[in-house]
Amino acid sequence: MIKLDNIEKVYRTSRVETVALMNINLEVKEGEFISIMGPSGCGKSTLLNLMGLLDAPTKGQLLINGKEITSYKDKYLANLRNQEIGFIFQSFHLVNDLSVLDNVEIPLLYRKISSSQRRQMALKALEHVGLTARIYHFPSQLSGGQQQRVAIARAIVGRPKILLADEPTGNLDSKMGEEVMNLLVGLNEEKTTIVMVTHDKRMAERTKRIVRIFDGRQVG
Amino acid sequence: MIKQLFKIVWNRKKANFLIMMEVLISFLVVFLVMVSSIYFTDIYMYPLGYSYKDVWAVQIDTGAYNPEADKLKEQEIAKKIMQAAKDFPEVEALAGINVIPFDNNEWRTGFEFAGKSYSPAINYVTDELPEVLDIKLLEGRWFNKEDDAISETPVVINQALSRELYGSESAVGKVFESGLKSKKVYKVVGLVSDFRDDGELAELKSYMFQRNNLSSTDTEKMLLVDHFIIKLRPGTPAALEEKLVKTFTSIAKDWSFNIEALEDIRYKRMKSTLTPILTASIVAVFLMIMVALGLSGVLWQSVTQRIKEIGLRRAKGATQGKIYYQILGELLVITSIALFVGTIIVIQIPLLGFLNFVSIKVYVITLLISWAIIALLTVICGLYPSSIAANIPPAEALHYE
Amino acid sequence: MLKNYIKIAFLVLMRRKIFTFISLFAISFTLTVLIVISAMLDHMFAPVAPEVNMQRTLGIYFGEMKGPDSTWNGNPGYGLLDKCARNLPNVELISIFMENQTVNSYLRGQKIVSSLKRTDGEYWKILKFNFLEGSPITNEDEEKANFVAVINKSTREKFFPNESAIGKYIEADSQNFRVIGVVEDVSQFCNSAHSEIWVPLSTNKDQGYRREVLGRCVGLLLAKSPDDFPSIKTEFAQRVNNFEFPAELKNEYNKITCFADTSLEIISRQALGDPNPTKLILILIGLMVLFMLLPAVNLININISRILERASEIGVRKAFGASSWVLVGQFIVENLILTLIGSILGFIGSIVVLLIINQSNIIQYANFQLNYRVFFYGVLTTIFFSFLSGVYPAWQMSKLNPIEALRGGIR
Repeated sequence: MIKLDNIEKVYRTSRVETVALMNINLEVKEGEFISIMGPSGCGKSTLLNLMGLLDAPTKGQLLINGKEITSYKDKYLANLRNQEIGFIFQSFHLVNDLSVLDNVEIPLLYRKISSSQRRQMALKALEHVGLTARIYHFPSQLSGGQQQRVAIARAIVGRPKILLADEPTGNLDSKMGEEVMNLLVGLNEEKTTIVMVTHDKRMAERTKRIVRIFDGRQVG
Repeated sequence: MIKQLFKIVWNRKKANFLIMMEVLISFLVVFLVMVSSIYFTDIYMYPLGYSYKDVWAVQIDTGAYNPEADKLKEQEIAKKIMQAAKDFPEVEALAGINVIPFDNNEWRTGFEFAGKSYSPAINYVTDELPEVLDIKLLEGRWFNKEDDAISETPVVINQALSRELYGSESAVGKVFESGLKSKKVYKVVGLVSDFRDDGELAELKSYMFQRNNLSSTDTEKMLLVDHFIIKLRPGTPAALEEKLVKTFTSIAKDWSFNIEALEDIRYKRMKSTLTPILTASIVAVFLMIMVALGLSGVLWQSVTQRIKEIGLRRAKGATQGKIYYQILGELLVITSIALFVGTIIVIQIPLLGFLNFVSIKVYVITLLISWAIIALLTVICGLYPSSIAANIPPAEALHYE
Repeated sequence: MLKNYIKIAFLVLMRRKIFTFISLFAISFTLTVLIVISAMLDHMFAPVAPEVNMQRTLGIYFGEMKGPDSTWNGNPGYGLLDKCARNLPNVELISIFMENQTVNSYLRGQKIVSSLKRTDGEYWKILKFNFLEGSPITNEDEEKANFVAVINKSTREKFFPNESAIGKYIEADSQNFRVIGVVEDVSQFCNSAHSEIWVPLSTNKDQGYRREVLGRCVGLLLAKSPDDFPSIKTEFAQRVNNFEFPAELKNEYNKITCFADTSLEIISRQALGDPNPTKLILILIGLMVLFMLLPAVNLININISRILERASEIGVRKAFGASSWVLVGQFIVENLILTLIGSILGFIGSIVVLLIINQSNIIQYANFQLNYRVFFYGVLTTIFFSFLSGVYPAWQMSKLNPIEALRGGIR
């Protein structure tokens, strides 16, 4: 599904050079649920960003869904992200100006889909996360857990094969976190591949595999 | 503290650059508008040197330029007209004058004195002028019959010319030559403070009155009276004008007469000077409102964007007041950089030869006032965003880590 | 896609009321000023009545005599024009008239100040005045020195309120004229057409003007076509060059020049002393750009703030597959809608400002109006302005890294 081959990421500013990731070799197979763990600043978020094609590696080879990433041109990456990947963020990142329904429709806007079909797909995704009653609400009118469920609906609405989640329960209390985690596990059971960054041990234990990063290196 | 402020501003230089540009251009706009307003205010304060109340100017148009015309005969008719005006009981005094006050015309004469050339404004007037325009002499006397006997050309000059020619010495009684072909010899008989015939909003200049002796019959030296001014009894109705014109026309059928109160000429002149300045000022005020709104918006946004940084400072023990003054201080650093650059630009203007008529005093005052306006403007724009920043609780920072 | 852009744009503009208000204020104010200036320039240069033949007209306004000791600058005199400007090749009509003179009239104890222009009959054929009643001055009036006058509407109101003026007499400069025509008011900006009272040239009190070389006249030439301008100009210049000075001036002057100019050249010569209008136009454009600089920088700043404020949204959209160009398009549509609303407000503002200027009579009888030409200039400047203030921020946005956008957009 995702294959990282000898990936290296170095951040350069005019004065300092920071190595964020070194020699990362990782393969995520179809249907897997992987959690990436490590202390703050170890590079786990950078790893997720590379997998999500939000950032380009300094060195190394990356394969998504069997396709080798040969170019880091904006349009090409945007299209790949749109087709293959869904994102879930720690702080939800819902667009406050848009209603729940409009928020969920965002990934579909960048595909050639009619508006009625768009709406149908969005409603289906919202049904999946159990929020059909609140489609005309705005994000500010929802609780944190509900907001994250909207975010999950947005991530799955385009039926991507891969879900990338960056601390999806980090901003939630344990009960809501549990709910979100249940949803993710359910999605995985429906054959969605999920990679999740977390430092919550209890959450990581519910995944199938744990990858540990320390100081930019893979340690297990 | 200040060093740190500069550091913060420098680290955000990209974001701050455009704000600095905006402040800089605003400063230039304010400066240009202020320089003209202050210039005119300053110049308005100087004494006019005469009174225009209840004075009318009569313009005589004798028709086409004709070098062969009988000058003596024309002079006689002009004198008849002036006498007719004098006979009206409402007319208190009358004088012949070449350039009437507030009018656009200007005559200058050139001469050399002590190796330098001068070209003061010159006006040919008759002996009665001080009565009509209430001119006070500082020293010496006005023209009178005594001058018939002097061989030199008698002149009355203003203080500016006196200072140019003789410095702090008294000019009255001094004699100087025109130095040009005509070899005219002038004798200063009197000194007036000033005679600003272009009005209160015109540049100060050196001035010289020469006597126009209407009883002279020397056609070479004679200057035909084409304007005269009359002082009226206070409260004279405008209807007198019609009577005057009728009387004049009956004396000289082929000539045209135009009567206008000096006050009206002055008003027209002022209006034409002030209208463009007023327009520019109104536009500038709107521009500044626009800049103030824009700047507030930009600062407000940048504060909300920096919540994390500010929260962190609060968490590390910075007081609300410290944050408040930090945000304001950053703004002041940007402003002072902009003002510094702006001042350098503005100093170039006179060096390049523009705005030369503006004195250094006016320039410095303008600079100070423009600085104050811009500083005030930016501080006002910064008050609200700074107070927002100061009210950010330290917990916000941790919330986003 | 476009429908979506517009929908989102309106949502955003409604939600960010402060930014929307600031932007609208800046845009509408700037456009108000620009449209007012365009309206004034249009009023000056557009061939509207009575200057319908402006494109084919040359004006002779400036002359210069030079001698060993003296220089005399001024209007041409009747004598020079009569001799050199008549019967030029490819000229259909020529008119010689005097510059305006200020005259006083006294009516029931009230003083009325008016501009008076003394003209020939041809003047009324080159300039097409709108007559409210009566007819223009004819060549016959000029030959016979008939004391007849054409007056404008405002003058009629002053002398004969609410009645017809034809056949009635007005006194101006102690002369009595019978009114034969009433025309619409003509703006002060129309150099050769503006006046309030028009009378035959030959009624001038002093007949000495007929011999003047330089004096107070103006020549107006109506060419067959603008293509003939160069040949007319050279022929006229040549004739002036060969002009024989009258005896009384021979001692003082030996060289004379006089120019036939288009309306643009006249203004340029008046303002800069140089007939080539390129410099004048460049100065005007320069001043306009200079004026726009501050509003543009202000708008760029606001636009950048608006984008940064929504950094999080931009990050999300990028993460979910929006390419930079799609987002730039979104922003440009937003900006266009904003400028569109701003320019509508600007048009309303300029109508109000022009109304105030017209009412205040700062420029006599000027009737500045918005027409399709001014509208066109307005739209042009709007697009230019929107482009100027929108392109840099949009470019900045397209460079925005999605990770940083997501991080910076927190809140």
